[in-house]
Amino acid sequence: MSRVDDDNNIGIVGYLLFKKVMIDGANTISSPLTYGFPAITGFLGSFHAMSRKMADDESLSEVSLGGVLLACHDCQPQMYRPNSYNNYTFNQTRNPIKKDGKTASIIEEGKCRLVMSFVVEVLADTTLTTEQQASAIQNTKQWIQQQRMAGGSVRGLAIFEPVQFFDNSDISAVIPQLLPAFVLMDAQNEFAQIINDVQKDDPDATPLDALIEVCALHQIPETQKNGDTKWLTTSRKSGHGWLVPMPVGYQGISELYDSGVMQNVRNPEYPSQYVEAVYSLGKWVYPQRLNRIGGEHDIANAFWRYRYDADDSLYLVTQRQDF
Amino acid sequence: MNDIPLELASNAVKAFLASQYDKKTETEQKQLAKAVESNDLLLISTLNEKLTIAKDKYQLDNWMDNAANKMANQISFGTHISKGVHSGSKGDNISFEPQSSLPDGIVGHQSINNHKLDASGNAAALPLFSFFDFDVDTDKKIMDYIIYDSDSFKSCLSNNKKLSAQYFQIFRTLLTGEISVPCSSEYNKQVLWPTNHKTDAYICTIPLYPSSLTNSVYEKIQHIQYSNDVKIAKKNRFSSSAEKTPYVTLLDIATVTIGGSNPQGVSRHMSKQGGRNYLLPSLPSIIKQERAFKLSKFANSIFSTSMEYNAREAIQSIFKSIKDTRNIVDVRDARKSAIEGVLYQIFAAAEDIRTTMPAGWSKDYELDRVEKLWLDPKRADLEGEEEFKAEREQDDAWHSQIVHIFARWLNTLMQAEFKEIASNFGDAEHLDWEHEIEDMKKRYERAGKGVFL
Repeated sequence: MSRVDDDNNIGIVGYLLFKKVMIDGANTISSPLTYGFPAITGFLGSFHAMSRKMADDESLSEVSLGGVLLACHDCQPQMYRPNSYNNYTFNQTRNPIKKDGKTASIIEEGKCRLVMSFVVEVLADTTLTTEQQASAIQNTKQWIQQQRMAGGSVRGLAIFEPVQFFDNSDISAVIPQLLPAFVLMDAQNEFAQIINDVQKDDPDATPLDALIEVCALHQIPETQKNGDTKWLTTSRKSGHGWLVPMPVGYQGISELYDSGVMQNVRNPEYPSQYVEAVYSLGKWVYPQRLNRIGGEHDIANAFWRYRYDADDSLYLVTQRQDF
Repeated sequence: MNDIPLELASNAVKAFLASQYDKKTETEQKQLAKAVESNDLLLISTLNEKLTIAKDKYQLDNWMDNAANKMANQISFGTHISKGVHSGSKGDNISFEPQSSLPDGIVGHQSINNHKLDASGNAAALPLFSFFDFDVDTDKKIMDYIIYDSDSFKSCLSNNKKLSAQYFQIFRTLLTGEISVPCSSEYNKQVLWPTNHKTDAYICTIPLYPSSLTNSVYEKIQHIQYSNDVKIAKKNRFSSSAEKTPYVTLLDIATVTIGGSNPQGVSRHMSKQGGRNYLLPSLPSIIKQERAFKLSKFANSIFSTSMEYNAREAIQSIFKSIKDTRNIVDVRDARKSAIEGVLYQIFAAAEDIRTTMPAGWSKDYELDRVEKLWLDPKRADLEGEEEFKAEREQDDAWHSQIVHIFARWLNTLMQAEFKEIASNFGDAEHLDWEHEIEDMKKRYERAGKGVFL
């Protein structure tokens, strides 16, 4: 079974752990509909770039990086609301200034500070030699601090053993290292179930209504025997864990243009396509629930990967392995 | 969809022009009425002059000529717009008609029932949008008929048959038009998506702003938060006599303003929304101390009776799992997860202390040295704390000492709960339990430094 795509038989030989990566100024507006935690693609892109650097490195040219596990220790969006009845607004800055020295108009952005741990699949034909492991640890530790992650800058890593290598068979040893943090899991199936529940109550409801429902609290009055009213607060999420709406990739909204056709693109050598973000649910899970091998939360299922479906022009990030 | 008779189509166009005329000359008409009342002849004549100019402007042929030849070049329609990404973008807008549905559990443009086309461009050309958006009957707008290629509308846009067909074609291309030369902009986001892991194969994806979708979300949330029903329900909740009705609240919604003080420069929808767009929260749960665990100045360890109280639920579930003496996988897993639960409480309390207490707080506390090293990490950076820093960074032993203190504390709790078992060393289950603690201890010792950083 291949975990990355169909036409390769490169296996997972181990895992790299990046511990307590502190990121400043990461993009907290993850899509036109969601905020809070940066889009998953922001992290995958960073490790994809790292994987490309490996190809140019003498000792690591046979090695590449695969799926990424995201564990969040802390996430602080820089935003404000005067009281709990208001909606949040993001703290804005006016920069850079224009050529004539005047301040530029405001294009709204949202920033956050993050402390994250990442576990990344290491792919190769054969197991890594001790030298290769050492070189992978040393290089990636340097690279991660040189590149952007989710639009922010890496300010530092854990002081002791910030990057570690784990053998393929030793993956469960990584779990205690992820404490205390929460791991992001795909909850597409749970979302399908919630959509079903919502549509049972209201046949006209769309999946979009169900997405908003996930953030809603229903305030329901109940009349007691003595005539008093007791208010119940219920949520669609209850019993499902910590579910959140989030973008999970894109779908094409135009034809796929051949390379060179579209004007003003950054890479005219590749084909291009207009897309829109698509959404699903994610679930934040405490690492202690990740260790049941073969179970619902097998840690091997916690790695996010790129997936491209040309037939339906879907560009998704997914934790599924069966494709 | 069926075409409508020519007469109805013609009436719709006339009604639109009349409504535009009334809307644009509202003040002048009022002034005129007043002037007639007070018999101010001079004012009457200037106002009449103005109104004649306006009337001329809203003559069928004049307006259509302007619309088709000027406005149509200054405005672009779409369900997805470039200016929503950055108001400086001059990239394409796209009218997306989905050909396929999305997989189960994924939401996108397909998830809204009736999307409203958006328009962006020169604000002076927005009346053209109003024309397309004009209601013909209860559920159809002029744009629906144009997109449908209605013969009636094709011939009622001008008194000249040929011109009418020409205008119609311009409008139809504008509403449905394929892009001949796709053109993005430096202000658009562009994301390279790898399509094959091994080779250098990428697709440059250009996300556009899903204006129809966000408009629909805006209206839904606006309704949930501010509609009259909801206002009344909220008010009645706190009134003793009124009938109580259920209502919905939304948690932690954020807003972004697109287009700054001039949202009509971005698009028609943005203009209607005052630039405001709602965002749903996808924040992770952050480990927080629910019941504030307070560290006593005189305690020598955080593994104390107050920690026992703090983690009492998790500890109870350990007891429960030990009492279950069946040696099967489920029970063993339950034990492991119960111990992890206690660890969670400890880490939560520790994280709380580490992040909320000021650097150097531990100087005044009776705490064991090893626990100070763990719980007061910022003290190492203070002046005159070189010794503390050195101890923290160079000596490996303190991590495992904390694990020992933890295991000892947990064992004491167990012995107090299971007096009979504790003395009965032949009991296989108790041995098994000890193994588990031992195993956990080893795992955390291996993880060592990591856990305590």
